Amino acid sequence: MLTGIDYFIVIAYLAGMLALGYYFKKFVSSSEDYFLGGRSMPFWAIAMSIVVSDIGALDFVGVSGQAYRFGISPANFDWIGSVPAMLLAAFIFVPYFWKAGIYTIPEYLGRRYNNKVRTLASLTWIIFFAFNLGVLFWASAVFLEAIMGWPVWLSIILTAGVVGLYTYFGGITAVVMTDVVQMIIMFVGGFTLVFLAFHHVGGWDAMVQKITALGPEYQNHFELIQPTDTPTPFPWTGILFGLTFVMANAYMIGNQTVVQRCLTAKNEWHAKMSMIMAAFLKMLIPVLVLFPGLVAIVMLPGLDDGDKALPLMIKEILPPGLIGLMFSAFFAGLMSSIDSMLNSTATLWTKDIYQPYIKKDADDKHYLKVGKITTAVILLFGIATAPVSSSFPGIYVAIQTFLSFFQGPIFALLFLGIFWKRATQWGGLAGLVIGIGSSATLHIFSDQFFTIQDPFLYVSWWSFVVGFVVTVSVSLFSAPHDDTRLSGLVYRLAEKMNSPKLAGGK
Amino acid sequence: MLNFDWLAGVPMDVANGIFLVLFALIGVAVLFVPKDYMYEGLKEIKWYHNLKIWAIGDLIFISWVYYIF
Repeated sequence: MLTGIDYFIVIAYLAGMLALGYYFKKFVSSSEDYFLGGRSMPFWAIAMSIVVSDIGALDFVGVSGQAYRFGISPANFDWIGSVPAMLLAAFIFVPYFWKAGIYTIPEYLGRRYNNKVRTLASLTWIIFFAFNLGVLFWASAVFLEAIMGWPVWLSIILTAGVVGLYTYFGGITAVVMTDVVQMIIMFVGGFTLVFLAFHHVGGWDAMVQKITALGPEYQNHFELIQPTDTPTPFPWTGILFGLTFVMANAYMIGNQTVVQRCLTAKNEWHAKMSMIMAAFLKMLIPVLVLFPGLVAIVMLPGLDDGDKALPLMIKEILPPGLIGLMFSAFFAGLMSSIDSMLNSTATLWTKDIYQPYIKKDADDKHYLKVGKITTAVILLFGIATAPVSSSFPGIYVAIQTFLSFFQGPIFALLFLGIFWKRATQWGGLAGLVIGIGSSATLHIFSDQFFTIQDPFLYVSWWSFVVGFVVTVSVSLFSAPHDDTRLSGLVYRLAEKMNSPKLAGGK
Repeated sequence: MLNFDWLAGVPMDVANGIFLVLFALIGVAVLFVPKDYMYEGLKEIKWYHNLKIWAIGDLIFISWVYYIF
């Protein structure tokens, strides 16, 4: 499928990424440089990095496939599933995280509640990232083998080698700056495909007309808001309660890979602005990943598997050279996800587990070294466990499900933590543990609780409610931290404490 | 109740309206954010540093998308 020029473009891209990432090695001399980029990043770089890290190579295929089956409703995840949450993060949560000088979200939870909450949250993320890395390596390599003909191990070694080297040496600065280039490549490749695809079907209006003429099952393909009895997994009630109110917030406010980027900002304004700009860029993502799936309904009707839509579209539409660019975009998606997981796992391990529990008072160079070693170990773990995932076809879904158990309860803790100073350490711990238990129960017995086939949106909402109610209830019967400890961690508490009137002055 | 069956009778136009109202409420909340809070961290302030402008821009764009679809 690939010609000489395509191979040249892909290899030039990989070499360029390696050189660019390695260049940032010289900016790393402390653990703060390695994990927070010396708190010197501009908003535009952070915004682009947040967006590109969120799209993996498999998302191109998976979302196109969903568009082929369900129409435009999956775009809710990038539109209403991002923008309100990112604005909430920009104006409320991120400034507090940035001012608190934290490295990780579990560190905030530890300061706000207690170290048990911090450790539980941190271990959850570490386990998720570590196992997800192997699955991501394998699934992406299998996909690249199918469409490029590259042997699985070649893709894994190439990706791991390039990403591993620049993340190991350059830390988050290298991760963010390579992400900037990766986003540009992804947007150029993706938009070129969309432009040519629309040209093939005669434009947007012609495509809509052709699809809706295919039959009654396509009548809702251009409706974002789906009825509660929709055959898709996206009823509007689930989109509103599960996605908008819980999952989106849990992801944009509670996900270490997202928030860690904002913590690298050079000042508070850049931290806020990074989220606002990222919200705008996120709104363009459905154009890249969803529209090719819609065009495929017209060009390639009757596919047995929607996930075949994008690879076949590339084969049908793109000329030599542009195919190489599109595959570079796939690699960009894969690499940006992997570098984020590596650096975030190293941060979580070093700051939340190693420093408090294994070696407390070492010098900064020691923690920098631990961060680098952890990056290498996690990378090797990902490579080693990659083939294991081939023996367990459902492992990708299992890992995502495992993480989804935590989304609702973690957001309940963050929400109450910042807005309600009466939330106590024991309330937080009980809310987290019981909330996770409720997620698992709802998931295991979903047939008895829910009428739709894949009720993950409803599960996240109800587990949030359980986590919220338990945290409030237990908090009311336990002693809160004093205001001094909570200053800077609870919304406007520091300002109230400094106000002469509220502090007891005149 | 867990399936939100009690909302099954809500017409789709009303459901769409709920999303648009949500964007409008967020927009109002953004407008109420104190002015100083917009510029914290900056030494020199220009008009384009006003975060409200960009946040409202995001909301207008997404409202337009949900109005169309």
